[in-house]
Amino acid sequence: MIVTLLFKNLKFRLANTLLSIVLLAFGTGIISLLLLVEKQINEKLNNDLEGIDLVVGAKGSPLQLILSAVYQLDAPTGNIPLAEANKIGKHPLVLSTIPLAYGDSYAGYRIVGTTENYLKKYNATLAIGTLFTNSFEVVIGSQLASKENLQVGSTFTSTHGLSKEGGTAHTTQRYKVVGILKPTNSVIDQLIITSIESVWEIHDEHETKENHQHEEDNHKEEKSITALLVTYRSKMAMMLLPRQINENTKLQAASPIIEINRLTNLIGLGIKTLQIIAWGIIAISGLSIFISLYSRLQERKYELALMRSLGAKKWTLAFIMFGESITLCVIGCLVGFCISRLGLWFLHNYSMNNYHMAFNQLFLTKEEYFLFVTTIIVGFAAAIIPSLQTLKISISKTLSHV
Amino acid sequence: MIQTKNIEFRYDNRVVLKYPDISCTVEKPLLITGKSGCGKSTLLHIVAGLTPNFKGEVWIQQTGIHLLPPKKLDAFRGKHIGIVFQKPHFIASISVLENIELAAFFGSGIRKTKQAIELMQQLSIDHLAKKLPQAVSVGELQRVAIARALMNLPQLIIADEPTSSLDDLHANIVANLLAEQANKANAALIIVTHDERLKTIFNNHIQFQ
Repeated sequence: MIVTLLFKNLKFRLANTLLSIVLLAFGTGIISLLLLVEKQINEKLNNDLEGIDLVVGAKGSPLQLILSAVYQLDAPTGNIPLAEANKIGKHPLVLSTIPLAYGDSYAGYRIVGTTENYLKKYNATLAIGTLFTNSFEVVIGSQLASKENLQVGSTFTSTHGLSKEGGTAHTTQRYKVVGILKPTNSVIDQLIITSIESVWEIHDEHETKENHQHEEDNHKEEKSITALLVTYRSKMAMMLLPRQINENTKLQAASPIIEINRLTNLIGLGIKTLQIIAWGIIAISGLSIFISLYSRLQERKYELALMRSLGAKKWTLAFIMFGESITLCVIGCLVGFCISRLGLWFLHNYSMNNYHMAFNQLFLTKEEYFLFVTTIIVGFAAAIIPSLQTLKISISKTLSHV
Repeated sequence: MIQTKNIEFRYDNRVVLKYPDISCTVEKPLLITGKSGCGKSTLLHIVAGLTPNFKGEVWIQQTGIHLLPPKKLDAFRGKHIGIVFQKPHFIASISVLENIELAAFFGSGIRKTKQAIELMQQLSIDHLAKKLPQAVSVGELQRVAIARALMNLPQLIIADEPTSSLDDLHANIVANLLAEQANKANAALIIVTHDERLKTIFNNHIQFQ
């Protein structure tokens, strides 16, 4: 009965109720969306980083090198000679290396020439088909397969460069899909992976057309790759290897962890600001609940006194006040969580099209439970003064002064 | 049997009003009349246990409500006293039926929907059940108020100016309904009013100066 009364009271003041809910929903929605995005970006960044201690590439911006080589997000800094890269692979402090040759794409998805070790690093296994053995055979990531509708046996031509539009097409050679990978929730899901030789050959052929005469002199020696992913043998390497490479060679070595920390600190600053604004919105909605409860108290005084005359206890009335406020907060918060899921879904579609980055999160995170509890506390706080006022109502006076 | 002894109304610890002792039984409903401002509504609030600011004794059957602590008084009032107010005020957000059920809920903890509907049928207001109070006329609301007061089969029904906002016809109907229903429910009835019309209906009558 009390619950019926509570909901009917809220329904009766629909405008007030909606205002409070909308304010709360926006506040919690924004915070929850920020929490989700931050969490997912961090997870994604760290997931792809797993086991990569150092990235070696051409000189340039270290962040660019990491973004391009580890996350396949930025343009490459340039090429490095294979011979130099092999020297690093033989360094006693280095446990293993994975060469990467990239720069071409298909429909905006990057083609990465590498070895099987790259797949192993991300625990990528085949869902269907086989691994690449011959030149121009590729395996593709799961998202790419579903988005571009590629199957085992499909063929396509690559484009020089990374953009969806423009770039010269490599028309003479067609790549052939031989395998599709299971989802790994890593960068691999959006990549086309082939042998490093395929990438070399397609560019040989490319150059052959342009400079016939120089072909003979410098081809074999000038084999190059784009970047090298390095795993250390021991922690000591962390101190020595980057400096050795940066000071003694023409190559650049960048530590992914350092660069990504720098990046997340920058992103974190923006997220913090937005979060403060959103907490402000929640505080305002708490205030709006308080004001609407308090201003209605005067007109409800008779109702409350009436209920007391019918035998309702003082605390029952206070409970109704708290109940209304907290119900608003719970509804607002749940709507907010729905908004954040919806926002994430839009963001997912947007970033899938533009960055091939996937976001998804349906269940509540730990931080969101915290947010939920905080909103309930806001609702509780908003009702304290109005319910104390209900305790003070004199039935006789209220009922005789109408 | 309802009885009061040596009632004094106090405000800021000063005696403001002294009342003559009154008594009333199921068989003989009591009508208290007097000009407005003579303190008759205050007496009603004292008897109904709505105000603690008084000295003296109020006995409802075997219970001295002047002896009850506030919490027990709330419970006792909910269960054993039905009140009909001058203006038919209701909880605006819930239906007429739910307003009547609310009295049962606060009085006994159960909604008693079936009894509520039966009571509404007896008072021929059952067609109003689903309506919100603001959609119902004043005369009809006064009947709803009577139904609400009867819901817990109280020992005492008190009515504060139950007819003053009604025309002659409806005043007559409501007054008779009150008397009839109180009698049926075996409840004592006290009516406080300045409405001279009711004197012809109730002969156990006290006039305050």
